[in-house]
Amino acid sequence: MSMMAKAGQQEHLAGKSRSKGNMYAVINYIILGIFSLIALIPFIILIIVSLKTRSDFMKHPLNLPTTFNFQNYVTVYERSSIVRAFINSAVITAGSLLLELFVGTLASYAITKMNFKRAGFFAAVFLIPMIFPVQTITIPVYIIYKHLELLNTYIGMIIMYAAIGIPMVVFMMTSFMKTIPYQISESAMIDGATHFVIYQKLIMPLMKPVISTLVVICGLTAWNDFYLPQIMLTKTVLKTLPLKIYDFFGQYTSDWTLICTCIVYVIVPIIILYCFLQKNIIDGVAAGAVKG
Amino acid sequence: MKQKRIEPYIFLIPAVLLVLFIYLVPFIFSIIISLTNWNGIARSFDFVGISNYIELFQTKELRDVLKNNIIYFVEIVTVQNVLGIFLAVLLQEKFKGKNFFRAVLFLPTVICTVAIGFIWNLMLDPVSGFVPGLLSSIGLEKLSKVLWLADSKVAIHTISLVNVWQWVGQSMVIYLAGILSIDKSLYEACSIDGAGKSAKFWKITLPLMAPSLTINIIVTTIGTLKIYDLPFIMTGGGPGHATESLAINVYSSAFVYSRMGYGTAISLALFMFVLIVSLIQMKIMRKREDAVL
Repeated sequence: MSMMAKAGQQEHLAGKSRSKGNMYAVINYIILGIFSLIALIPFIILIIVSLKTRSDFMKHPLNLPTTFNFQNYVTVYERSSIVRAFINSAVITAGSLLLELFVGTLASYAITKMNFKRAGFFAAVFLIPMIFPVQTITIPVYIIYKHLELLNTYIGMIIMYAAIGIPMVVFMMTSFMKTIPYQISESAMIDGATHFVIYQKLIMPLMKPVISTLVVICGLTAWNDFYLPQIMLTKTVLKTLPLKIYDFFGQYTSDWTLICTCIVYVIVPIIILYCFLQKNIIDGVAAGAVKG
Repeated sequence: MKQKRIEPYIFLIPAVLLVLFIYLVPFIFSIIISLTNWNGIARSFDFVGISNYIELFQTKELRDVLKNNIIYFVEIVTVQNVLGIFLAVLLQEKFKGKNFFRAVLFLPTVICTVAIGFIWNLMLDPVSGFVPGLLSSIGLEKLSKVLWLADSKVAIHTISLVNVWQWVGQSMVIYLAGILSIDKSLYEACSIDGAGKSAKFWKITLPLMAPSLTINIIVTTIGTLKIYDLPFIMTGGGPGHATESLAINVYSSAFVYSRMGYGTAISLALFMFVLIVSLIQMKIMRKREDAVL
């Protein structure tokens, strides 16, 4: 009798905790749903406004569009040379990634695999730049660039972003290369391979996960940056996407439908990329932050 | 043998040149410029000693700007980290849709700040904005009349909040990685002892995610000390100087008013500011971590 009562009580308790668990889950969903909505609404509004005509927006700014109007997309495409800006951003981002990854992995290889006296010193040298706010070096670099005629050039921007990315590249690369056992490179050395061949054929293929993380972190930095292009790219044909939005806003301040359309053009490629690579991007950023 | 000793340097030279060219030479150069009255264009300039630094400490404008930076720093670091931990805790268990929520909350961090700034300008627009519209439709007439960006008392807090909106996903993801690395058996042991959810959070989750707390606080601190894009886009530093940050002040001194010497002096002050705060933080946080583990 007492045993049965006890069993019943236990069952009752288990049921209670299960329903309590369900309640937690429901509250979880509700809170996350609200936060997700807050994260998404601005983007939804952006798209809605881009699909309205100007007069529709002026009369009923908050209503859904009565008809879908793609005229804004044509207008912005014709007036803003957005394709050129896209190419500029792509060249600068890709160029800086190639430069910093090549130069940074070479240095990391030397620090971790070449067994020389000052390896520790150089490892530290590449970390120091991390503490410099970009604003501290911008003014002198601007003056130097002016004299070397590197303002308003792709290569000037590429060098700048590569230098900004280098500390991160070396830091993550050295900590990853350290985990690769010595024997691999040593046996190759005995077989007569040069360091460059070992770097190229043995080490780099093993670095793919770190490289993809770095491409995400450093690529986003260069792609989304506004500060440096604003100072160093004053020629219209060279302007990058963030700068394009800013200029477009200056030209059409009162016309939100066109401005929103321009912003949609700029962010849609990134959002599409994000939909496909969302997991890699998030993991990459988390890994980068944890290492940094 | 000799060739072997040179080889590491051949591998290092390109990277070292890059660091010298973009960091070391400019840094030394900027110390020199900060002691001059150069406008960046003229061929001649005078050395003015430390008068740029004296001006920097005496003008009211710079004190206001510094105060703004402190407000950004305090508000963003607190709100973003508390909210980041909260969201990470909600996402720590496995459930359907977890990846979706994580992806949506992280999305704003990959979008460029210029776009974010303008989108929020539209959202907050007194005439056609979604936020005032929503507030008045749910009966909060008084709140819907607030000028979120034009009122000099409100604007800075608005920008702090938008900044949190954009970056909380990043903090969340870092905290989530920290929480997921905690040994599951600890929670089981705690359950056997009859501890509830909140006890588990305070006794296990929070102390053991100390490393990710350190990382997050350093990342948000340095980010907010250098804050530039968002206030520049949303208010241009105004009304008056109400939302202007140190970085905006560096930009306008050097590139709008062509006072390269004074601009560099502020930028070096910004550098010292970032350096000191990160060193102090690093020290405190490491000590706390040691005490916990």
